[in-house]
Amino acid sequence: MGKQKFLGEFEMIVLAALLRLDDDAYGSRIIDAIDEHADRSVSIGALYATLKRLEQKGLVTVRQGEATPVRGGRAKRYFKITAEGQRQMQRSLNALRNLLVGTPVGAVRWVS
Amino acid sequence: MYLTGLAAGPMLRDAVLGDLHEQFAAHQLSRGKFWWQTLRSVFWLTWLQCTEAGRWRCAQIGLTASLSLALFWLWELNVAQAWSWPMAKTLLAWSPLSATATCQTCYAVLYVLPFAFVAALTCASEHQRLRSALRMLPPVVLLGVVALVPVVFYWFSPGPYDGNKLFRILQGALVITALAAVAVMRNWASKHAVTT
Repeated sequence: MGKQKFLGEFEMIVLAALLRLDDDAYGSRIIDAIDEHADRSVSIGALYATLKRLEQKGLVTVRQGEATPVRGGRAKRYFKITAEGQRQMQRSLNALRNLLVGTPVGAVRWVS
Repeated sequence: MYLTGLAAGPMLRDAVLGDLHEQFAAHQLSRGKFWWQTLRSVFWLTWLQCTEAGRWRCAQIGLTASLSLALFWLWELNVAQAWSWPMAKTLLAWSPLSATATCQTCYAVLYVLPFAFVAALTCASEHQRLRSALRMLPPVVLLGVVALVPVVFYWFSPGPYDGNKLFRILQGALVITALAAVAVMRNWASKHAVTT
């Protein structure tokens, strides 16, 4: 059986943000979502580097969006999680859950 | 339609700068932070748009520069400025050139050698001639010897900077790290060289 690849922590956070934002996931929004819901400030560069890596793994697709005045006339770049991305995320979450279930200090509460 | 590949450089640049602009407009970024983020983005954009070979070459240039800087540093501090020390003294006594010319020649040799080796290796890898770690070994060992001579000398010689152990350790670590990284990259290059 081939060795399965798991997602990194930040990759999972980005993918979760993409799921949350659905069709409205572009750089600025993703950063806001991560900041708001994961309480983590992210630089644009780090985000795009991760998105590129995810795209290269086939976990994310990208499409060109519209340009708006508030963006200085520059186009958006929308990202969307693929089916494979969702599968990998599920696998990573399962791995985490399996590790935590049965551990002391009420870890089950965190994953339920 | 969803595109695959972030290959389009200007599109990616537009997206990143647009995001920054949008955050700035929404007062999520101060002016200072906006420029700081923009500078960081330029780095990331350059990195993202570089090809694998380009990144490798950039790293090589950076490493060579840092290695040369380290050698320059060591040389200036050890020999050129404190030439009453044993090695410099012997060298200057034997040299038919003037003290200044000897120092300059030594500096030039120490400075140019790492450059020459990395340039030669780059050229070789580009011509797909580097296919095994064995082939890269002699130049890297030679480069290591050249680079480490001043370090070793410095380590065991008394001098005005004796009191500062951290200073020496940093110098040594810089050179050793650069050499190790060059070696790793060489290895990578030899593994990824396209067979013709």
